[in-house]
Amino acid sequence: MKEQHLKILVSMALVGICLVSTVNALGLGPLKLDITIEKGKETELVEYIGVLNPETKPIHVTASVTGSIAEFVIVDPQEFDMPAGPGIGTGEPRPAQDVKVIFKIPRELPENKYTGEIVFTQQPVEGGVLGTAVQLGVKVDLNIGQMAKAEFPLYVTIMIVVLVIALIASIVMVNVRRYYE
Amino acid sequence: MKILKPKFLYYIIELLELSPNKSILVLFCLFSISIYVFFRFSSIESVTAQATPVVEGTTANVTVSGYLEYINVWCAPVNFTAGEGRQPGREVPKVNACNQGWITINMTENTNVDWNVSMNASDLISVSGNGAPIPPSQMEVWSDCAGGTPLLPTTLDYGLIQICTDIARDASVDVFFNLTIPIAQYNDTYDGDIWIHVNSSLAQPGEGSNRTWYGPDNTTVTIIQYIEFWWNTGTTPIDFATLTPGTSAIATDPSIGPNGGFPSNMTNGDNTNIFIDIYILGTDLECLNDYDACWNSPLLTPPGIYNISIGPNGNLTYSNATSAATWPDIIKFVNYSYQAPPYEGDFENWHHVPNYTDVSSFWNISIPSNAEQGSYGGDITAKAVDEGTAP
Repeated sequence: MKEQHLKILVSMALVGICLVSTVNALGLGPLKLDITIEKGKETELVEYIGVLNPETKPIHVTASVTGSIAEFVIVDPQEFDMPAGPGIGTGEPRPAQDVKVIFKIPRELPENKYTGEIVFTQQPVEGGVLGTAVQLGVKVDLNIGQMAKAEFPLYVTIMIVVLVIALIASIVMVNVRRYYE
Repeated sequence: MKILKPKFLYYIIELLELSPNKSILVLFCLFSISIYVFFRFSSIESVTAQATPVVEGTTANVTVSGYLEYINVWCAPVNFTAGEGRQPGREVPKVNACNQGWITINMTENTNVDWNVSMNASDLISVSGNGAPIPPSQMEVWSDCAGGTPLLPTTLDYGLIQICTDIARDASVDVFFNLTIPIAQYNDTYDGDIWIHVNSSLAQPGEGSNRTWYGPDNTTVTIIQYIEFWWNTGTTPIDFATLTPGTSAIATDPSIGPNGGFPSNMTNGDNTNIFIDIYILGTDLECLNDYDACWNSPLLTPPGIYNISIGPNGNLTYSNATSAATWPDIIKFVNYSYQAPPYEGDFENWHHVPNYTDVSSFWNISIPSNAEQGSYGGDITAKAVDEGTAP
């Protein structure tokens, strides 16, 4: 009986699973960027996203870009460390890292709506082989639109009309005079 | 008839007679010039002559009193907004006007005495009316006082706060500002007023010894939507006991690790200023050690039939839920990897979570009957999003 038990135990798999976390906290804003750029215009636009560490230990954060915006967007830095924060419920200011988001829009990009997300994932600074992490993201809507149509102020339009009338009047006057001669 | 014509018109007519094309051109130019002359001279301003008094030759003794003329303030307003706006719970400098963190104060040229400067400010008021006022005490100011005596750093107040004393009459003082945005401050634009007072004991008492500059809506900040999200270290790691194939267990055993893993709490942070939804993404469980039997078939199960499940709500307790079968309503299985979403979510209690609120997660694992012996591990990522937004 004892031997049989041992046999069963040995034949059974011994599985230990642990989901280890050391530090799991992250703060992020804004949560959405809406950007509209004229079609046919090569543009470089810079926005900033603030990442804050509320946790009482240093954290390590990685940034990535997903979706159809990925080929136009550069995030700088893509990976960074943050010093320890004040902890939850303290009401104290949090250490912050401003991440630069550069939109490089080529002139030939067709008119369309491009979407995606800039994802920030907090990785455990130290600890177990396995981990839990928290993730926050900034949704991005990039609209490539038609070029704006130029409109002259009203007084310029009136001046042009007056000058055209003057030109026509001059021609008529001369021709009338020639006719009577 | 010929006599009545002005001489210059006569020449013009002569010219027209010579060439019809030239005559068109000349008439057109004359018309354009006349329009220009009309508009140009119709806006002439009147000039008023002033009489200069004649002074007879005499002698006089004059005493010039100390005098503060007017306050000049440069690089106002005190705007703390950069980009889309600022996060709550953050200390930020003044920006924008002159692209600088300070304003510059000086006195106009007829000021002939040294001066002192004080300030006070109002609350910053939410434009929509939905946010709580930000008191002036959240604003810190400091300066080197341009050779005067600094009384800094200090925070502003509703009443006067002395900033500098004994500033030279022709000096310019740079005053720096920082705003500590309160925790969880509502997403909105806030405006407030600021007053700068200059006085001097050396000046003739009266208006000339005490000047005030008033900046209505000259303190301003825009606060953006912000999430702060925690997976509480006090309730992790999530541990399971050593299991045999074909069995399942809830992560409840406190002897396994420091927290036992039951429940594991996630928190919408105290600084978040919106409601959030929480989603989960997991990797496959893989064999960890090359000396274990599982090393040859590293995945615990094929992707997609992964067997960690999460209980949905805080009503679930240890006593009434000892296995997945007894869990009420929704059970979510964590599938796939980072590279292969979807995230799992829409748990009843993981939706519309207000700030500073814990959400409990309850974890169960079922070990396939054919699992190889070994230690397995994976990653779980919790993602918080603005309520109603897809992960």
